[in-house]
Amino acid sequence: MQGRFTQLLPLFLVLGLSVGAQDRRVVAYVSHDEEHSREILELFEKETGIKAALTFDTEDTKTVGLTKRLISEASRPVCDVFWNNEAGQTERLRERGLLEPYVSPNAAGIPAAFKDPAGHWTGFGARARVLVWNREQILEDELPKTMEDLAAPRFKDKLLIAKPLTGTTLTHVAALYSVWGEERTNAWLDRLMANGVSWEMGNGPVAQKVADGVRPMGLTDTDDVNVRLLDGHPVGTAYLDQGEGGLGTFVIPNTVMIMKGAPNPAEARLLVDFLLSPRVEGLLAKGRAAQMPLHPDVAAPEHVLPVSRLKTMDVDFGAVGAAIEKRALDLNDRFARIQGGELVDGDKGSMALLWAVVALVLAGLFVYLALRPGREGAARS
Amino acid sequence: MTWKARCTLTLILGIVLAVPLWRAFLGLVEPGAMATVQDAVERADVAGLLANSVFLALFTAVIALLLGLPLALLLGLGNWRGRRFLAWLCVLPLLIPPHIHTIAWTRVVGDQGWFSNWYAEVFGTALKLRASLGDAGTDAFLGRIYPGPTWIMACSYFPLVTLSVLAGLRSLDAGAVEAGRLFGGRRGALRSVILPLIAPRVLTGAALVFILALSTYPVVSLLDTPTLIQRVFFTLSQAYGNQAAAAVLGLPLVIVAGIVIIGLARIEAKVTPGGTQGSVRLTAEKGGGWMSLAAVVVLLALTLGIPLGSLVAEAGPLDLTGEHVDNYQSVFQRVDRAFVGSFVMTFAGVLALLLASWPMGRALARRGGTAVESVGLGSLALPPELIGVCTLLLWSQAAGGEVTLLFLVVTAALLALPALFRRPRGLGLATWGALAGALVALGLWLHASDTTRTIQSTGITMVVLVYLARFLPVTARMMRNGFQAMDPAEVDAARMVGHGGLSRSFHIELPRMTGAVGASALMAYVLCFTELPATLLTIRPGWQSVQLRIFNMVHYQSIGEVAALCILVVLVAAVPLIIVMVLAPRRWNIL
Repeated sequence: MQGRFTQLLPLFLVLGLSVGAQDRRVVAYVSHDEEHSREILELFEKETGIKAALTFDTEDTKTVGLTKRLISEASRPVCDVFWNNEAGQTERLRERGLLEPYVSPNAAGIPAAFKDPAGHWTGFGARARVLVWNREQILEDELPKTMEDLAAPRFKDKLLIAKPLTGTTLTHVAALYSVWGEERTNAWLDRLMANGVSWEMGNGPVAQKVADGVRPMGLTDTDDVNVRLLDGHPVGTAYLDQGEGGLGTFVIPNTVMIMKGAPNPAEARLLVDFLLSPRVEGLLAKGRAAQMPLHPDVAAPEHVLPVSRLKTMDVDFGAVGAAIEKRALDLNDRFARIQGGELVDGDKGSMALLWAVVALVLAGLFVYLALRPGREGAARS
Repeated sequence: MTWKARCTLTLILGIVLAVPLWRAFLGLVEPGAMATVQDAVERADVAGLLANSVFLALFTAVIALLLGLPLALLLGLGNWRGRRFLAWLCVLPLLIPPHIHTIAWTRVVGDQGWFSNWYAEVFGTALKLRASLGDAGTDAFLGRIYPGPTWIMACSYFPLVTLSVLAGLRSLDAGAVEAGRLFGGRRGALRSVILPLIAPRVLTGAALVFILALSTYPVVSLLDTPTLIQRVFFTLSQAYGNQAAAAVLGLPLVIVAGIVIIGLARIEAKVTPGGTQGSVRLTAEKGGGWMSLAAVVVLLALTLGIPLGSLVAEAGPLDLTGEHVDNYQSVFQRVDRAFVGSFVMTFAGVLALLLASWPMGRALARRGGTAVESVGLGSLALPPELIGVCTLLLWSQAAGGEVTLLFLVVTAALLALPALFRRPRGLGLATWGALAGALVALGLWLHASDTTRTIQSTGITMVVLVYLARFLPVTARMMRNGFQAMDPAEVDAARMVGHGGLSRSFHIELPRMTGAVGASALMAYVLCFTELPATLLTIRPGWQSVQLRIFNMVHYQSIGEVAALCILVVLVAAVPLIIVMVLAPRRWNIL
């Protein structure tokens, strides 16, 4: 009997650990940088008295971790509000019917391009896809002016771009597919590959390597450039496609939404109203991430360009979100050729597996010979 | 194995691991899922990626062996001052998560690392941390070997070999070693007695490194190494959002890991240490071990000193005057709550792992269980994200009332599974049915009482469940080693004089298992403390973990602050170890 009690102890532990208190609260999942969003959400707690229970994503999972978690919890939602730092994964959630429509009064000043027509999500504080360049290695006049220019022969071996498999780079390339079409975008990617672009594992490394002088320029996000600027690196920001008839710069807003079946809907609406206020956009603009305000009259620091002063790329986020899984797969097929940072041609997968099996067998044989019964017997005797 | 032991094994492994994974494969019957899986498999170069993963894991294990085995022999067989302290120091690399190792090494041998710059100046050619040895497109052997990630993972995991070998040295037959020394001297004893007898432990450590290297994602992600685990993660997160496809793609990794474990079990079955345990030392007198000390220090400096040193350099000086806020102070003020969260989750995980590994280790020690153990340890090769998602999905759906009954039926079937292989003595069909029925009734009561909802949404139960699913096979194996080294006659004698199960556990087994329990707790501590991907998916809203904070800070904060936080994490995480090192009696033989 006592033995059985011992074996049931883990169960008691599991039940015992499940203790929690209930009060007026809102559960928010946040994929925006914790260092800055926490301050804003603490301000919300202070002003409303509503406890905000927060869960953050990591840069490595690029919002995918929380999106996955929200999808997994769909049967019984835990989260009230999701503050996503981009729009592609938001559209995935909307497509799955996981979002509750809510049109906040504070969303009135935000341009229609940055919110869902049915109110499933609303954008605020945005980032832009820009060119970061090293002032010590290239002159401003020599910089490319458009996305097409990036593939020009004169920029051979000079550019860094993150692999477009996750995050804002994936969303950007998916948006290019929706604007340029299949053929033109594929041709552009092929020319980039032939032009010796160094494909990195994220936008942060792109900006850092430009700051360190590894290459003179790279395609990245405004927040990544701003961090290097604040740290005193000799880098500059260039907004592409701003000329007459140009494509416009791709702008990715933060998005906020209420989850369907949210346990605390009233508190969730209050939080959404708070986040969409011009004051919060101002705070986001002052942070190291330098988010660009979408409200037209927000006071932002000089180095933060409001979206209203920028020619932006006209993108249907719904269409981009709907196609993003297919784009991710196609791009992964294409970028599987980049291995260990280098372009690889040829496929020796089966032969390599044979080598791997041989290596494993040899290792096993070596172990067997080292421990063969004769030796063991000698050891025991 | 008795039917009770078999039931214990299947029930624990079933609830924490098999049922969540079963939920993943249940996705295969969803509409369109088979086509998705087929597409996922066809698009991925499974053979090539698997080859890369196997090469990476194999060479990581070999290098970890080359680093860890000499270190353990120097520490375990020497008789010089300071070796106990250095043995504890060997645990430190395990407290640095692999992604921090990667960041640290990148500052040394990355594109702009100080060693890379020096190397380029001296040899006129650049070091390529991310590249393969040969042409990845045409060379099917050298083109698949990536020295950068291999070295970094070996530096992260070599202490597993060291700890395993140290445990083996403690259980050596002192008489056999003494005899070997008399006939063949120190070298002879080492070559013909010690090494053959500790070989299973050496292989256990190497196998563990092999399996973990198969499934470690952050290193290959940061260094862009094309491996199967990277593809599994991509499939799970970005491409399809379908855990069934990810699980199918991850199967080859589990199979490879399972084969390695089965091979290991066969070797272990052949070589079982026996006889009198005792303190084995090959150096007769105290002192004179300065060469051993120097060798250990060099090894530790190479694997631990360089990455830690690069982090310290990045973090900048510590301002003891209090005039300026240095990176350490600035960071610590912001992450103090994250430390609390990490420690609470870690200690809950350690407690749960010890409680679950005790009956499981005992059951495994009684007889066999190779298949269960292989599946269990093989599951370490699965991406933690997959286990996290499956656990979350299962409990969320159970809380939503969707699959409770199905879940219970599968659990009951798992419980009944042992009976299919061997009819339990003295247990009739009616009794068995009653047992399964009682389990279903218990489940229905849990459902009706809203317990599943409580488990899902409050407390840290989900995190603990994920820790159990990921690490139970490791700690259970260590417990099993402890139970195997125990004299069964003592337990039988206690039973005959009327000690019950609980009494036997506390008064007979526990005092003889302090080393195994301590080593299991230590291993559970380092594994839980450094866990990131599954914790991210299951952490309770409002809670923080330092590993999550590090990853978040990597994006926007300066490298100095990130480095300072990494140093702080290592120092703070080492505090419980130091306390145990100082307070634990030497006879406990934890290290």
